[in-house]
Amino acid sequence: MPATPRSQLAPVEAARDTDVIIRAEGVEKTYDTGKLRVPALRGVDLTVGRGEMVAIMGPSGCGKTTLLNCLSGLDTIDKGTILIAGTDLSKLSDNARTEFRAREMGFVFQFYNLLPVLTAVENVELPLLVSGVRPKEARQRALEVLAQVGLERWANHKPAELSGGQRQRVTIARALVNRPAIVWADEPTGDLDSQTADEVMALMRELNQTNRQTFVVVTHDPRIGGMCDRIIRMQDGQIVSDGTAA
Amino acid sequence: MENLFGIPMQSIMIALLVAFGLCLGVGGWIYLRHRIIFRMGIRNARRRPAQTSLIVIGLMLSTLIIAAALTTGDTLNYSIKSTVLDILEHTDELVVPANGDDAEANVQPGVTFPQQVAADLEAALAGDAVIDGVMPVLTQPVPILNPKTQLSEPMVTAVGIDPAALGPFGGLRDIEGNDIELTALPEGAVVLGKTTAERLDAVVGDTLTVYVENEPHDVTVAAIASDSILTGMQDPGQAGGFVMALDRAQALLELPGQISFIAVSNAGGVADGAEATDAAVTAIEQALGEAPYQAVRVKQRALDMAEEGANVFTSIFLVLGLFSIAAGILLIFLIFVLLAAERKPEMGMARAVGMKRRQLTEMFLAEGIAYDLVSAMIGAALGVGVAFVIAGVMGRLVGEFFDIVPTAHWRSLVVAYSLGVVVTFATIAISSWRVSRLNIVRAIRDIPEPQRQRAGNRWLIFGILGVVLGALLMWVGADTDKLFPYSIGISLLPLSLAAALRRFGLPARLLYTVASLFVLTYWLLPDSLHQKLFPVLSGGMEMFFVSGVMMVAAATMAIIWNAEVATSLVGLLGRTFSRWLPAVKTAVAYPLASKGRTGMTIAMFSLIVFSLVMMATIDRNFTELFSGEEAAAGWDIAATRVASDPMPAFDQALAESGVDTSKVAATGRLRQVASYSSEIRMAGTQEWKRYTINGVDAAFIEHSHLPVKIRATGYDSDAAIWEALRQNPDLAVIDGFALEGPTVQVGSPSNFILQGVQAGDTTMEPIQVEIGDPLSGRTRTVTVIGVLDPKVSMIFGLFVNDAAFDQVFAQPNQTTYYVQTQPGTDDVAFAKEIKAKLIAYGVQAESLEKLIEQETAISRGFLLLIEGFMALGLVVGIAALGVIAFRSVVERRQQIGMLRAIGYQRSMVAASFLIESTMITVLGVGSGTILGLILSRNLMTSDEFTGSSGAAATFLVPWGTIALFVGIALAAGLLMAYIPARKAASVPIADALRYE
Repeated sequence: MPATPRSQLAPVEAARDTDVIIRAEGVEKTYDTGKLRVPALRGVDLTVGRGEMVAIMGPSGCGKTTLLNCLSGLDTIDKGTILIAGTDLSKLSDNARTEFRAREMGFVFQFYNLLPVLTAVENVELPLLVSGVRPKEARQRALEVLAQVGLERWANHKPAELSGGQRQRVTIARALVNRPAIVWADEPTGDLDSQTADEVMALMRELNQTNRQTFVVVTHDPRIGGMCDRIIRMQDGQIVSDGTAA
Repeated sequence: MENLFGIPMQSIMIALLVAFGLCLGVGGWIYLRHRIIFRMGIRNARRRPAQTSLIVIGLMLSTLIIAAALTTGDTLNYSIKSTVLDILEHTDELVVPANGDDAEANVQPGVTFPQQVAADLEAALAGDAVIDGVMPVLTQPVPILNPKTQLSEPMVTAVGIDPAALGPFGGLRDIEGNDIELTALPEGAVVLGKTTAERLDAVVGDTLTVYVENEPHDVTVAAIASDSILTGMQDPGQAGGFVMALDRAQALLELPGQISFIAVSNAGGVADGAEATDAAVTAIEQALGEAPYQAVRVKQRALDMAEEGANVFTSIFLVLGLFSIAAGILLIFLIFVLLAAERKPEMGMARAVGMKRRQLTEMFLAEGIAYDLVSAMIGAALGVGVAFVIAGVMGRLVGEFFDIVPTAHWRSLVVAYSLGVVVTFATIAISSWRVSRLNIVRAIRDIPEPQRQRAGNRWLIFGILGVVLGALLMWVGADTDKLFPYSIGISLLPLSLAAALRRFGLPARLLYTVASLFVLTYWLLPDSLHQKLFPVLSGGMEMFFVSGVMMVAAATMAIIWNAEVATSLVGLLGRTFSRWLPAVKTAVAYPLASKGRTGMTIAMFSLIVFSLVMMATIDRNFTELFSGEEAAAGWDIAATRVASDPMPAFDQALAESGVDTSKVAATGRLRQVASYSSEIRMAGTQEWKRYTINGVDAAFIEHSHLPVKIRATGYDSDAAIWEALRQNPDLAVIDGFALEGPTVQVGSPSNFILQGVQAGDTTMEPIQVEIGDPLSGRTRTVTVIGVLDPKVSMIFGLFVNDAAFDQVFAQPNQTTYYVQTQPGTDDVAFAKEIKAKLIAYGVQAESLEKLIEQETAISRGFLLLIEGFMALGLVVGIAALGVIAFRSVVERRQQIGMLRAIGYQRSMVAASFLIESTMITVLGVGSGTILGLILSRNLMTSDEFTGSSGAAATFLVPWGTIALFVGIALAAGLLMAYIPARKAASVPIADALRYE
């Protein structure tokens, strides 16, 4: 489906509060290298509604990936609270947080992060196996999702045998296979040419609309941001603007 | 040690120092020509201290093993030589009645000759610059008793020496170093040897009873001297004796005017005197003229035997250590492949900015030399430590015979260090060249190399070269009757052919599977089939190593190319425990994706475990064989007597001495002439050989259980053979050591080999041999009608009946009375009783079960020592696992982050690493165990071994020992993986995802 870039932003409406899936308040994060303390997030407040497709944008080093990592529970925060579907991840044990992630979240990364030693279908079925789904059912579902992203013919190929766009589709399939409430995507098109990037974004958009899954996409590409419902801009660890595309 | 594998150590050292200089030269050249490259290499060595430590451990293993083997040789060489010199002191040659070639001639108990011969010889040699002393010596074995302690020895040596001739022999001193004047001692006073004093618990002033011709004589201990040939100690481990002036000894022993040998001292000291042996022997032979006496190079011969003994042990340790060295070389190669993988992007960058391929090689070489020089130094030092531990264990095993003094010769250390550096350098050079061949773009982007359906021309060229080399080696082996080149060739050929055919697009899995199965079939085929399909060629101990390397290479290839099948089993296990399925899935997938490194690690474990299983299995079966129920031929006690003076019939002597004869069920007599006192040859041939010859009485034949392995035609049972021998003095039976094996030749060249029958035969035609007494010149022809089963390990030699024995030999070297006791008798106590009651006759009685236990304990001790030494190689495999596991954590850091992100628990990540390491260890240990068991079974059931050793009626597997090796390997493998697994599990997810 072709994406429609939007150039103008509008303020977030408080009405979305009734169906909030991500709520962050006063989130602070500082990297301590021993010699140097680098504040990465400085009091971030944010809410994202269920089914929204949100882009987090900003220059390099502004804290967008850190924010995504903290929101998704991949990283810890120093101050503030983060609630995902009403659950405070910081209060969960590592095991519980991991299980929560496996159940509720999917991830898409810039460099795909597929396991090179597994085939496409094996990569896709991994989150299901981790969640305890029976191997046969996991394989069936993985094949279905691969078909959804147009890769059924490539199911038994290893990542090295796929193009960049195909690899990213496998990553998206892997992120969606356990039907998560939220998909986190960190520069999902950063390693792709513009045509392939458009195709990947269109696919994500379609899945977002079809499944009503929340997508949080970190990108520095305004074109990609323009394809989302809403753009959050960051600078120096703070949100400087938050609005929907006009 | 002066020689190794027949090559002078000095030459080996010089050659290695030249090679070592070349290695240093390469390093120096890199430093001078490309200092920046050199620095880059050296700095790389400092980047990861933990990894560097593992690399150093891996690299030092080869040097450690070489140093330990050589130092063990030094220790044995020094210890045996010291003992020899302590015993012989200034005595360099002996003159004895002519009784055979120089290699065997010796003093014979009971054989004496006139003292005048010594006087004549001394006169003839007067003024000779080479010889500074000639001394007549009388020796006789006698029983001795210390009435005070009631301790006795049935056979010590009474020695008489001429005090006037003692000067050049260093005189006589007590154990505190005080000179002893024999002429000043009172009548009946003797100087007691240290060992005899200890065994009798005798001190100066004690009166001892000596039995001569069964009559007691009292002697008084005037002094105690160190053990030497002058105090009755002729060989290490003997009971020693006592010394007195020659005339008094002649009176005591009732041998007036008689001596047993003439001791000759060469000019010079104790050690350097032997250097003049050749000149001295020439002078003695000229002086003796036609007289029927000969000079025996007693010191030179003993020193040569010390050297030879040390060489044998060094060779055993080196050859068996080759397994560990080979595993170490694989580890070095693996380490450099992993280092290259880790640095692939930066190497790609370096190439992109202008670094040449040669410079990449130089960078790795510089780094490798840094590791190499340090690790070889540590390896040499630790090798000396290991050798000293070996010396400690040996000291406990053979301390009765030799005082084992840990000794490290600087030359051995130089050789070990240089050899370690050179071997490692060569491996590093090859692996550096290999890793420098990279595609710049793929390296920078860290993309895996594409897997081609069709291999490149390089494979074709190397494959063809391998096929040609393999065929050449086969031809050379078949032409020269050498198994070593033939077996390497026949193994190399199919593997090379498979590599070459890959160029034509044939599936690699099929090619390598077929080739490796062919190689495995060649090595593992049962002996009977093998001999039908392949030529029977000669091989030695080196075949143990060759078989191991070739089979492990083939088995590893088969495993790696078919691992999906094996790992699907692991997958099934994962499905059963579905919670762990994801961990299993990744654990299985990674090693399969890196066939090279996985194969090398499997091969390392397989090699070491193969060698250990082989050794343990052979040890178990031989121990069982030689200590089984048939070892003592059904007898319980052996009562041996060396003295030649008369003794009543054994049963009568027992009864008259008050021994409780109700405990005796049967007795039998075996009179023995040792190999140095006998002659034997095939009838119709000229050259006399040596062999132990026994005369057995009717009672011995009747009550012994003596199974015959090979029966002559015409005899349908063992009983028929022995009954014929009992009745007919023209017949004989011989033991299996006289047989020639199809491929393996053992023993001294002067040993008799029975022609016309081979180990492995089941029947034979009767074979005529001639036996003779070199002293009297009497000979006789006997017909061999059977070969004794080697399970009878306590009785050996050629057997004839008493009548035949008496026709040839005037007297035996020793007589053994075998005793069967009534059920319930304490054989050890009864043997002690016999020994004590028959002390006047000089009878030494021992429980045969105890003797077998003692002998087995020593041989088992040595085998365990060797197994322990070989187990050092396990360190290589374990280090390899550690290197791989640490490397994997670094390599997969980002993927670990992703796995954690999608829901892998920490425990699952750790489990994945542990399962991966365990699987590799299990495959290596499993293949090594299976190969080792099959080959040792084939070996123990082969004709060669069943014929000469009687093994394999039942094949025994030392499950306990194997379980121990396997357990250690698995536990150590798990431990090595545990630390990196924990590290992997605790990787912060966000950091890992950011990692590049």
